[in-house]
Amino acid sequence: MNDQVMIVDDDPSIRETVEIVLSAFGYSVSVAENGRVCLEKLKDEFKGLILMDVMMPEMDGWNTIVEIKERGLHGDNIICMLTAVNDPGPKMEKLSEYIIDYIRKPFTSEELIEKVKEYLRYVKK
Amino acid sequence: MSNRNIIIIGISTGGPITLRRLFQGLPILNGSILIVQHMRKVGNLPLAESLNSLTKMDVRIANDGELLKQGVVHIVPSEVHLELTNNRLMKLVHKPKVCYVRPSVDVTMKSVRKQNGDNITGMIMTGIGRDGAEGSAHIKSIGGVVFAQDQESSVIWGMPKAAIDLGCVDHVLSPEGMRQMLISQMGG
Amino acid sequence: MKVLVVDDNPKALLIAKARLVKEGIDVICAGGGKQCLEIAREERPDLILLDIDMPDLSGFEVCNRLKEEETLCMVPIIFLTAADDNGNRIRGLDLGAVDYVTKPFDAFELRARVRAALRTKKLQDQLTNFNQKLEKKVEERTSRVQQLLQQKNAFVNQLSHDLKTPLTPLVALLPLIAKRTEDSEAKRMLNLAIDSVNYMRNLTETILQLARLNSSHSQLKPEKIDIAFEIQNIINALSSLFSERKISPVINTDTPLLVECDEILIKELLHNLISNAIKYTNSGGVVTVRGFCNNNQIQISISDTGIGMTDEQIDHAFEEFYKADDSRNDRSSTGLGLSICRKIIEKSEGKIQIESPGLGKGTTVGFSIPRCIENEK
Repeated sequence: MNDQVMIVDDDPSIRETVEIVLSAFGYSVSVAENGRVCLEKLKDEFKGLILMDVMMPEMDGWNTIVEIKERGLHGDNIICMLTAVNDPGPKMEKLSEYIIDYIRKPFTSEELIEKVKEYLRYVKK
Repeated sequence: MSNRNIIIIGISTGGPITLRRLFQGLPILNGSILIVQHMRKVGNLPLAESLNSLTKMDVRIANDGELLKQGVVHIVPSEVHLELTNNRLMKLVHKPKVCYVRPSVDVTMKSVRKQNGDNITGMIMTGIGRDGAEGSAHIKSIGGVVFAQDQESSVIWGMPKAAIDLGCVDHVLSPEGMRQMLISQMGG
Repeated sequence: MKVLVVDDNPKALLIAKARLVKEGIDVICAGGGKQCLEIAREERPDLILLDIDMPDLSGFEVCNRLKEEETLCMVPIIFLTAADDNGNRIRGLDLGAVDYVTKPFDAFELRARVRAALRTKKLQDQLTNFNQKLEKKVEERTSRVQQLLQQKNAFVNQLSHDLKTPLTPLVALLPLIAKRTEDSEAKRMLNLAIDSVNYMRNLTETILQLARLNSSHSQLKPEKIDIAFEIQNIINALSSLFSERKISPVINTDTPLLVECDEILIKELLHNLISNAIKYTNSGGVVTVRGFCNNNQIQISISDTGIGMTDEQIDHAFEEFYKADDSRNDRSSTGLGLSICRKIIEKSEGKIQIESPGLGKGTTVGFSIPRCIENEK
C-alpha cells in the first residue's frame, strides 16, 4: 500500500465521488462513514492523508480531530477538511496546527487532485 | 551592520498550497524571509522541499542560534516560537502557545526592533484565528510595512481579516500580487 | 364614573355632591388645590369640577399642574366660575378645561354638563384603549414578520449549503466522463449538463451571498477607502476580459475619492457593475467609469455602449431573479447581481439607479455614497 487517502464523510455520494476520482488518478482510498470508523482505521495503522467532512451526525469533524489528538492517533497523518460551510466556526481555531487545508464543496476533480497530490508529499513514506 | 530587508510571513490553514503560489518562480530577493506556518512537525521538511523546487531562494528550516541569511527563506519549525535578537540572530524558545499556536507569528513579529535601518515587511496570509494581528500592529509601529492576503484567494480569511480590522495593513493582495510587490521592492 | 369636586367652600361641596349623587355618580370631595392634586393622583377620577378661587392653589394653577402629569393630563376639567366672570371662563377653557359651570349651580345644568363631559371621557377612554390594542398588535405583527424574515434567511442559508453536497458528484464527475467519452453526441449532452451544473453552482453561491446581505447579523466593517484606486484595480483585474471582448475601458475619476464603507462589499459592487457592463456590450464598444465628488456625496457612474434597456426593464432591474431578457436564456446570469448591488449600496447609505436611452443605446448605472469627511493629513 502506498498512496493512501482516507475519506471521512457521512454522505455516501461524497465518499464514492472522492473514491472514484482519486482511484482514477491512481491513489488508493480508504472509506469511513463517520468519525468513529475513522478512529478505528487510525488504530489499525492507517497512514496518509485524511479528508474529513465537517458536518457529520453524532461526532462532527472537529470532535473527531479532538479525539484523534487526545488518543494520540494522529501519527504522521495529514488532515484536510471538506466542507459546505464557508465560515469555519470557532471550534477550528484551536485545531489549526492539525488541519493543513480546507476543500470546499462542491469541488472539481482538479481541485481535489491538486490538494491530495500536494499533501501526500507531506506524509512520511 | 548594514541594513537588511526582513520579511516575516504568518500563515495557517491552506498555507502550503498558498505559499506555492507565492514562491512560484520567485527570484533571489535582496533580503531574508521567515515563514511561520501553523502545522505539525511532520510537515516542516516537506514544506521546505516543496518551496525549494519553486524558487531560486534557498528554503531551509531554522535552527536555534543561526543568523538570518541574505537570500534565504527560513521556515520556523513546529512546537517552538522563534524570536529574533538584534533582528539577526534566530532563537528558538519553548514558551506557551500564543493564539492557540506554536510557533506564533505574533511572537516573531514582536521580537523585531527598529534598528540598523532594517526594512521590515509583515505578511499575513490565509488561516483561521487572529495570530499575526498584534504582530502586524507592532511592525507598523516601528515603521514597517504589512501586506494581508485578499479574501478571494484565501482558503480561510481569518488572520488577514483580523490584521485588517486592527487597521495595520498597507496592502491587501493575492499571493501573486505579493510576489510582484516583493520583486519590485527587493528583486535582484 | 368617579367625579372629584374641588372647592374651598364646604357648603358648595355639599351642594354639588348632593346634586351629582342623584345621577348615580361617585363623588369625591377636596377642600383645596393641594388636596385636589393628592386625591387625583390616588383616585384617578373621570372628571374634575374645579373651583377657581382657592386660598392655597388657584384652580388655574391646579389645572396647569394636572396637565403636566402624564397620568392625569387627559382627565377632563370643568371650572366652577362666578356668573359674571367671562374672563376667567375664557382663561379656563384656554388652559384645557372642557367646560364651565356657573355658581350658584342650577341643578339641571350641572348634571347635564357633567353627563356630557363624562360621555366624552368615556369615548376618549375607549379610543385610547383601541389605540393601545392596535399598537400592541402592530408590534406583535412586526416582530412576527421579522422573525419570519430571519427564518427565511436561515432557510435559504441552510438550503444553499445543503445543495452543495449533492452538487459535488456532479461537479467532480461529469467533466471526467466527458473527458473519457469519444462519442461526440454524448460529449455534447455532457457539456450541456456541465453548463447547467456550473450554473447551479454559481446560483447557490450567489444566493448565499444575498442571504448574508439580507441577514441582520451581517456586520459592516466601515473603513476609509479610495474608490478611484479600487476602480483602477478592478479594471486591471478585468483587463483580460476587456481585451477578449475587444472592449475598451475608459476611466475618468477625480482622485482620491474617499468613502467610508465595507471594503469587501464596495469591491464586490464595482466588480459586479463593471463586469455587467462588459457582458452587455458588443465587441468594439466602450465601458466608461466616471467618478467625482459632489458636495458630500461620491458619485460613480458606469456607462456602456451596449444593448441598452427599456423603461420596463429598468423598473424591474433590481428585483431578485429578474433577468432583463429572459429569451437570451443566459446561463451566466443568475438575475441576482443587481439586487446584490442595491443591497450593498443601501447598507452603505447610498443610492443606485439605472438609466438607458433605450434598446441598443447603452446603459448607465450610477450610484452615490456619502463622502468620507476628515481632515487632510
